[in-house]
Amino acid sequence: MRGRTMRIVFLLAGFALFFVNGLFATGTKEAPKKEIVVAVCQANLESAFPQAERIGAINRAKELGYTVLNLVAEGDASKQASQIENAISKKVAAVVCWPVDTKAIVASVNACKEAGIPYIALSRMPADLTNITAAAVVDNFGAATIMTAAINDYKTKMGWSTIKVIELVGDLGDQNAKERTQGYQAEAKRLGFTTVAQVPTEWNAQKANEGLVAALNANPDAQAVYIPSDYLWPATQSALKSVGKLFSNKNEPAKHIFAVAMDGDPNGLQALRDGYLDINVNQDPIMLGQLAMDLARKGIEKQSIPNTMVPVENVPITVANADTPTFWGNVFKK
Amino acid sequence: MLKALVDWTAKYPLLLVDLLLVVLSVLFVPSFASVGNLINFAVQISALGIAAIGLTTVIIGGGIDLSISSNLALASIAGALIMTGHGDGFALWGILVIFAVSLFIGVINSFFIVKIGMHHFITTISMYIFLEGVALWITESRTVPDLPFAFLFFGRARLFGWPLPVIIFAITFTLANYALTRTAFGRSLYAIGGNRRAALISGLRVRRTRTITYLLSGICAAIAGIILTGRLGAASPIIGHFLLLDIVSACVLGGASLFGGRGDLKGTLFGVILIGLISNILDFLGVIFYFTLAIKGAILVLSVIFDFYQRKFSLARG
Repeated sequence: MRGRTMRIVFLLAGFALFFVNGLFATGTKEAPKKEIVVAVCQANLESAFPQAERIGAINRAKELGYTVLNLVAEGDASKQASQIENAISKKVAAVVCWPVDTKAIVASVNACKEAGIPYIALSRMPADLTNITAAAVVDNFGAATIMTAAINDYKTKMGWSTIKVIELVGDLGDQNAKERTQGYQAEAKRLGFTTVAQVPTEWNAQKANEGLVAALNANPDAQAVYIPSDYLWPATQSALKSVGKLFSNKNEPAKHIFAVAMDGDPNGLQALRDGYLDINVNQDPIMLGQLAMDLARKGIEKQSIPNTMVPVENVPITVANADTPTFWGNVFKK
Repeated sequence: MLKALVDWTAKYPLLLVDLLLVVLSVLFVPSFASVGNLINFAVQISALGIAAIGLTTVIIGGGIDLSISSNLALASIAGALIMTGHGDGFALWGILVIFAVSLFIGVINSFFIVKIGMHHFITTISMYIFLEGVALWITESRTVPDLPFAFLFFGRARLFGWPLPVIIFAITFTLANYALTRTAFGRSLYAIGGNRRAALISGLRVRRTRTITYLLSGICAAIAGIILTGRLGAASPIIGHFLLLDIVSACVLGGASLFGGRGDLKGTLFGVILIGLISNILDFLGVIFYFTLAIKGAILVLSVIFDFYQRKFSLARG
């Protein structure tokens, strides 16, 4: 009986502490009026791209006088859902989110809408766009056009009627990957490429490496590689090396396999300088993060946003301009 | 009264750690002590708690089920594939499939471990890898969306103002706790976990009891999977991938001995609360991601040390 009494006393004391302090503690019912907190939720920070997005968003938030609550889900969709719930409880002013899973995030988008909190999609959009406020995106079709144009120029320069291309494909659950492969496929058909192999990578470096090795062994006469992200460049380089086909366009142009990629990360820029990559496309994640924060500001201030999808500019990068100081791959230091 | 308090916290040292974290958070973490956050927190630990109940039962009986998180994922995928794109009428079928798959996996585990006699660790870790591989293979690592509203109900609805996942957790906990503390099954389980040979000689139905624990683990995996998938609105093949460590940690922190024969669900509950509190608090504080795992690990290590010395002190006092 005494033990039971103790338990009841404990429970009541706990609730009393919780609710009484909840009523009087600072910022418990809502964030202090002067502090605007924006939650920046990211799937992971495994590569330079999301790390740079984070820096862009945080720096822009500082300029706007906002506080950033940076939540990283480590690739766990359930954790991300919990993090966004916690952010909503904390009554953040906006949520900027790069989702782990574009379908699983829809419930969180709807929860933000219900709570009156603007949801800004960062580079990867939810499967259902109904309740998003705006999206800071990359122009994947534009980038694919730049890359395939470069392949076509090379084909013309070599005097070939067609060119044999191995296409790496990202995770088709990701809208960016879908658009990059759709863009490639449309241009490849129009320009008369021969796609000798499609390598599904699911944005996994190991899968990319193994798949590309198999594709190169099966197609030893492949002449070009389409790489949908610099994230896959190290795996590609490793695959080319392991089959004895890693040649620089500077030193051994006759044996070089023409390679195109996009993102413009530090690895991609170095590969251009070394002559292993021929063209890259700068899709600035620092600018994406800044843009997302600007869109969050518009959402917070309830300004109208005429175009929900706001893309960052694509800039072609070759060895000639790879050292441009404003490219994020040169700006961003890990 | 003080003695009762001391005795109680001696039995559940983690309770003190939980209370300390709560008090510190209430005082120093803005927005922590709000009704909204309390409810969110309860929902967030529900699936973890239910899975931990299943695992605790197995551990008390002297076994382990490391496949519980993959079981949860594969069963959710199987149910979701039945339901996706269909109306509410398919929700019941989906739920039945989830339970059927989870129970089947429990049967397989118990067959290899109890009937054949394979070691529980290697069997269930192999199953963990196999089941995750199957889930990834059949979905090509995609999530399965478009689930019927009637199914999402289990992850999102409220009854009398309380989230349904929390109610389900409370019911599961109550039933399981009753079974462990008030029934012959529970007494047998502790005896078997403590000394299997002695239990066998005493005439206890060792094989049957151990088989039941793996089936219960499967049932808990199914319930946890339904809640998690209902919350997310989509079934992910890796939904359990990150849960396993949390589930095992909650059980062990809660006092369940990996050698069997020791542990109870109240201790597991406090372990679940601790795991949930750490994530919740770190999110609220916006601690830089690079530090969160280290901080989480440090709190867990300190809790284990505290638990160790608290038990040692209690034993010394007799």
